[in-house]
Amino acid sequence: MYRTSPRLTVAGLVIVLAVCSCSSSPPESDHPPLFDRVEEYRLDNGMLFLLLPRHDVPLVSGRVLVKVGNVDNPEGATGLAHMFEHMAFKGTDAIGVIDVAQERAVLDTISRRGARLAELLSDDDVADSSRVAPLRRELTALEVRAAEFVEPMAWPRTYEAYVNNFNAYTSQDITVYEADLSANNLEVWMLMESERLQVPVFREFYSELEVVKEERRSRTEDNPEGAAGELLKTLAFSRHPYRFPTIGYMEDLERLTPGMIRDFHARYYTPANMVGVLVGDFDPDVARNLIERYFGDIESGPVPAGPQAVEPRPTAQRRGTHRQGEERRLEIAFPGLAVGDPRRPAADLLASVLARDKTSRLDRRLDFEAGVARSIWCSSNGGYLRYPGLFSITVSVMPERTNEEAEALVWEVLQNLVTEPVTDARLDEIRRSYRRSFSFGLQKNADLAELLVKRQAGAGWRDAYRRQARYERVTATEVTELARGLFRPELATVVYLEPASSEDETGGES
Amino acid sequence: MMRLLSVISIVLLWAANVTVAGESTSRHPDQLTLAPLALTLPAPVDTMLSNGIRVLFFENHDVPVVTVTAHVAMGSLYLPPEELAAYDLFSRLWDDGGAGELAPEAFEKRVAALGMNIRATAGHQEGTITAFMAREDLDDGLPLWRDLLLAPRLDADRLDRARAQLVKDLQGINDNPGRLARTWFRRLLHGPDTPGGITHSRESIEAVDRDDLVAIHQRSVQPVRTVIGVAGDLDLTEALARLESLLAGWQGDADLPPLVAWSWQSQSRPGVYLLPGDFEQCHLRLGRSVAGLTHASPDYALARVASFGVGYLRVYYRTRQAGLSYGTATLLDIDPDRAAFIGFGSTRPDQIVELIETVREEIATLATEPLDENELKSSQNFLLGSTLESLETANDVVDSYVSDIVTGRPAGFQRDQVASIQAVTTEDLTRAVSQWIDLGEALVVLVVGEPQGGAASLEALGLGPVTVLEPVRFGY
Repeated sequence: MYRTSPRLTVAGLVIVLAVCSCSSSPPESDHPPLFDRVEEYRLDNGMLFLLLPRHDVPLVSGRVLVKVGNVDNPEGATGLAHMFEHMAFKGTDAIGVIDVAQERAVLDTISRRGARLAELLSDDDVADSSRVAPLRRELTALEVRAAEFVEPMAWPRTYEAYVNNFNAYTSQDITVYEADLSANNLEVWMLMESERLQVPVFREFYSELEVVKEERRSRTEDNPEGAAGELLKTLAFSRHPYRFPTIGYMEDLERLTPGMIRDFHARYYTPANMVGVLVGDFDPDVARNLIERYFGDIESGPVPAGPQAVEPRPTAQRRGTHRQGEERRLEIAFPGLAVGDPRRPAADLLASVLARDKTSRLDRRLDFEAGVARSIWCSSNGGYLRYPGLFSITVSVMPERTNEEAEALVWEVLQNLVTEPVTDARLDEIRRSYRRSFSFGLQKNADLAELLVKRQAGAGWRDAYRRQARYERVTATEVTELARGLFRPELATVVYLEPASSEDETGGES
Repeated sequence: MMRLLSVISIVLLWAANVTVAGESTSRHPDQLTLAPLALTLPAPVDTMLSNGIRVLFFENHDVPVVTVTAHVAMGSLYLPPEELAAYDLFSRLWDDGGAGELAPEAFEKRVAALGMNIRATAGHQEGTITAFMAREDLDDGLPLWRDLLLAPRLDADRLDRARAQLVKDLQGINDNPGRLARTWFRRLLHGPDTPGGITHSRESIEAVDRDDLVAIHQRSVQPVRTVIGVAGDLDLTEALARLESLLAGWQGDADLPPLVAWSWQSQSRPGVYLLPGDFEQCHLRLGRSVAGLTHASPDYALARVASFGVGYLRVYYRTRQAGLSYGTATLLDIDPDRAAFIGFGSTRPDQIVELIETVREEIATLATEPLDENELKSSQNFLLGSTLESLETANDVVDSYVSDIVTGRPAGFQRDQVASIQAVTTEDLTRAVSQWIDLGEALVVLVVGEPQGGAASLEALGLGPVTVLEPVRFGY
């Protein structure tokens, strides 16, 4: 006995219209044909899916992009988006739960007591008082109690049996849940991802918070380069939330609560704020059917607004020094460009002129000629996707050389961009290498899925190939003018990483 | 046409949207009926040049690029410890010192002008030169690749630079607790003067001269030890014609002795060690050598399954769930000629003892709670999926098959591995655990950092007295 669902029929009409509209618009020219196969499939609840079938190997890469990142954290709650990402692996009430009601009751108690802990920690007068330690012990005991009603790590262990690998990451701008799996297990991806987006259970909150704090220690406190990078952001952004570390400050992490996680989920994990991406060996008809069945019931909601803070243009150079470890490293950053700024392609090329290969200007001057640098990196926007980021230059300085030497040479190279401008011939070489790299990056499902995710988070997935076309139109004059306007001392933020044993005092410190 | 298309769409749509009466969306994967995995492994064409050099080829016209890799049977595996610094410098200089008629800068400019990517590595069991270029650039790009293979210039000035960079890289160990833990653990597990445990000194690096590197190239890069892999946007006829014109005249030494792994005995120093250091976390390494397990072992696949099951599904999840650590795990570290069972992780100074106890406890629990069917399935799934992913592109296929040949693995190794992984049972896993996975005798335990309670807290573990190590400043 078969039946049709009225809800699905309505969705089906949407699909018909989509199919009809797709089939009537001509494909754009001058791009790899595989992009013509990308289908946009939008559910009634607003969630968009990008479907790209490829049948070379029986593998599928699945991604769920959520347009929320560190920039969206409430004030005083740095690290919340990243903590949520960790909590999204704690499962639902359908896998491994021995007693749903009893677990829920204990988790509710944890939530109330956690809110009380956050209150105490927010009050400086009581932060070290004898009321905090017993409350922490109580929370630990409650989590032990809650654990009696669920099999340990049941959700990730269940997922593990069906996928090759699964993980997630949180950046300043987005959170991405990724899984790569054999093609025969596509429905497992649908089930697991839709369930955890809709009905997550935020168990083991305080034990996971300890894991996140460990992650912070290993990435920042015990990592001189990470700490220097954190100082750079703090100085470079005076107002925009890009100044905060995605992992969060330890004092903010201490004040996170299960209630904040729940509120965060309700606000940001709405269908219109999420995009699903599938690349690989699947039948689009089957995929659409599964998408409707598993994701179609997620309740729609408003797309939350992003941060409103606009970073003002710097008027004076900012400098800082971080002392830790034994090595030296130089970070110089300038204001980045907005997502839709027409100069973005020129900025990318400019970064490559400076540091892409052994013939790049910074490499030649600082490494091969002066012997000051071990490695040099340059990024036109620092990987920021939604708002203007930083045009950054990083130099790992050789032993017995100094950050001052490296900085002087960097400024020399930047000024030479104006007095000895880049040529169109050099830009042609760089564009040629871009084309090769772009082609190479189209071979693996996972790389394609990541490309679609990153572009969709910014200007839209079609930017994946349109950007390549825009590079072809950039002139040497545009690159030079961009360098002239950008590389000014008053616009720079400069951070030195110095050995812990050094004694020089310069500017802001951490 | 549009109306017909719409009608067809609606009909298909209705068919796609119907559900069987009573069918609801499942909430647990075990409720799903899934098709079995169709696991077919692609294989390249296997042929030969006129001078006997073997060529593996995989055609793919999806994107207009070609990858050509020369794989050479050579490696640190075959060298005594006193030659490893020279080998390391050779690896760094091979693609950095120019080639053929071109000095380094000219070579790099030529590569940049073509927008190609060319890289040489000299590793543990093979050396590779890989060139990735647009199909239209084969005429100009392939000779650069050939010159790097046959005639690297190993420029003396670039050698000076490579020495300085290698020294800097060594110095970077000193303020990185994870690298300190890895470096010191190898010294303790294998012995500081063995190939497994040695760390270059500044003296050994500065003692290397260009003649040493030239000698490495001359004796190692020989036609009889080279297999070429070609993948991408060209056909076999063209690929062979191009390689013939580039390499047909390459006549090396036909009477080379077979490569033999350098024989050395592990000089393990079991015990508990503390390397003090001013770090926020304590880093842990523990483990022991495992006898009778190498890449060539019949149980290699079983060992991989067991390694994942224990290290990830048990140890990682247990320590994670307890909030002890971000990434503690164990693994069977299997080399071509030896193996070790190793645990690693990091945590707060006040938790390091608990972390060690938890790892030991989890390993001990395997005796009474062996890996079950679900864990077996997860481990197999991970390894089979990894195998598929490692063969996803044309170049992956070629690279994988050529590497197997060059490193002495039997023909059909990938296929056999898949079958072996699929054949593993829970009984096999129990045997594997009892044979290779325990933290009993001959155990080396190393903690880097400042554990709360100092050495005394580690002594309380009951694993023996603690030796406090005298720090070594690497690279100075």
